[in-house]
Amino acid sequence: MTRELERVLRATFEDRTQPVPQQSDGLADVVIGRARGVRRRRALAGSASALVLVVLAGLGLVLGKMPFAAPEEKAPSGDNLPIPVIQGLDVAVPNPSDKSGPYLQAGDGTRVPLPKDQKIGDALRLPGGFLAITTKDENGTLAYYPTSGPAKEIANGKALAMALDPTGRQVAVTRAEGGGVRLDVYTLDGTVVSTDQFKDGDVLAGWSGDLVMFQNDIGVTAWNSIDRSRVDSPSEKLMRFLGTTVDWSTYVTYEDPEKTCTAKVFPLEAFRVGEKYCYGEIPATERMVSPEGEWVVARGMNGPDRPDELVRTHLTNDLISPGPGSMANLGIIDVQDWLWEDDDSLIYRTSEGWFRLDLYGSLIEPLPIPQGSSAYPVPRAFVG
Amino acid sequence: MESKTKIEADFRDFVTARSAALHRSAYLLTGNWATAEDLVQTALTKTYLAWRRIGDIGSVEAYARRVLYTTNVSWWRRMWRNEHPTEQMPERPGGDDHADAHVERDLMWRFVCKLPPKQRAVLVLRFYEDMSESETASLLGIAAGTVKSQCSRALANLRNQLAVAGIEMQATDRRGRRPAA
Repeated sequence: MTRELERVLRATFEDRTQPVPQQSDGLADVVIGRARGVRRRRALAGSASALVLVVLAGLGLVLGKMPFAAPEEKAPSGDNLPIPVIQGLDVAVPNPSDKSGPYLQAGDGTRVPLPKDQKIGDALRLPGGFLAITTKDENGTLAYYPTSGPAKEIANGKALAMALDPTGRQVAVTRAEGGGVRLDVYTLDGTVVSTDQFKDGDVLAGWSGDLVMFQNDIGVTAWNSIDRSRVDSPSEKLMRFLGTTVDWSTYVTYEDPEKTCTAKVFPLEAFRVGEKYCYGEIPATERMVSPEGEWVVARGMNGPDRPDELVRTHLTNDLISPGPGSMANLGIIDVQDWLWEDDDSLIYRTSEGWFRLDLYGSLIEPLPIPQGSSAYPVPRAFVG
Repeated sequence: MESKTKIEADFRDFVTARSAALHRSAYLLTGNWATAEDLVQTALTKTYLAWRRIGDIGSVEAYARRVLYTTNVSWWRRMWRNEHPTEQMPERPGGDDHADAHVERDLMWRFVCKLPPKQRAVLVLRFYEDMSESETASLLGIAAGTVKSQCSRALANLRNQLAVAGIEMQATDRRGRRPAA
């Protein structure tokens, strides 16, 4: 009976694909044109990966580990080598080999110098320049550094953290103040748009639409930048903010009994869970959603004795179909840092250096950042 | 490193040689030629952007197909709420084998179009592209066991829907021939 069903299915597929309609002329030209457009937009940089960066920073704080180590007092041996221009990839160089002071290098080779006596705390590429937090002793300074022209200081204070909003026009900044956390939302020219106060332990995690998301040890708080109201995730589900979706709702991961779920939630409806997928596998210690929500990459899902191995799953696939998920081992171990280059491409560091991973093809390409160097790729913000 | 001109020339050759096959697969995944065209363009755009990374020309088609299948799933997720599959079934003419076969395939196609995208992708890869379970698993980036379960679930789904529509799948011999009545 199955054989007959398969026969009819094959015949149906054959019938349906004959004949193929006339192909549009110049398909290759159309595609090349689209690809150039994509490259231009990528070059402009933007905000969902700002979320990713900040999620990582948030996780780093929550887990007691920062994703990008601050430069050490003594520069690592790799810093004796110059950093080449890596076409299309922006790089932070804390300890250049020529001792000229820290700088940010754009993908076209443009160098943006940072204050000489400060360390790079955080950096983000956005259209026309970089946002960067530099630190000296306990104080941090956030400034916008255009690729040409003078820098514009935005904020300063202790324990600064930043997250660019999805439009690329506003930046949420937190700092330690009075035993708690102060939030200010600025435009990029340094004008304060809104201010509020949070408790110690609330960590800036990113934006989702108009909401500024905070992570703490019992879940997520969504702060509405329009009316300054806030909503806490339900305490019975330990939610962790993963990023935003293409329609600007929110991805979280949370623990249900005996399993870890990744879900789309609606913060303004008391974090109601919409589409979700619950993974039966061992919960990952860290996971990241790609900028457009296509993929999830997780570290630590292969077991507590293999904390540095990467796995990936096609999230959009898992969320819509019942049945087993598509979690697959990438065969990459010893992963120390990671960030999204775009929705299909992940950049990661092992003890052997920096690599780029294409998630569709599982293709791995080494990046020419010298091994042992403190230089690292700067995340892009994808402005919606 | 390959020059831009060389990449563009290789890419154009690839598009000329393989775009019809990609369009056919895309049509089976999406159910209409206009969306199929858009899906192929998207898959080719991602392929072109990754051309240097793919490196080996022999891997290009596998890469493009992988993008095609996974991108379709994402699209479906974003657009499925706007989809309104018809509930109207074709009349079943009696007596004529050709007409029967036509109605059978027409119904089959309608039911295939209602399958979740993951199940549909598995069926297209297994029964149109003639890929093995392991090849299908590799292309979709999922476990072979998942391919097996999705395929089995999809076939059961189709069988049930055809039965409800009054078409029972008869047993056949190894060559697919039905036993004489």
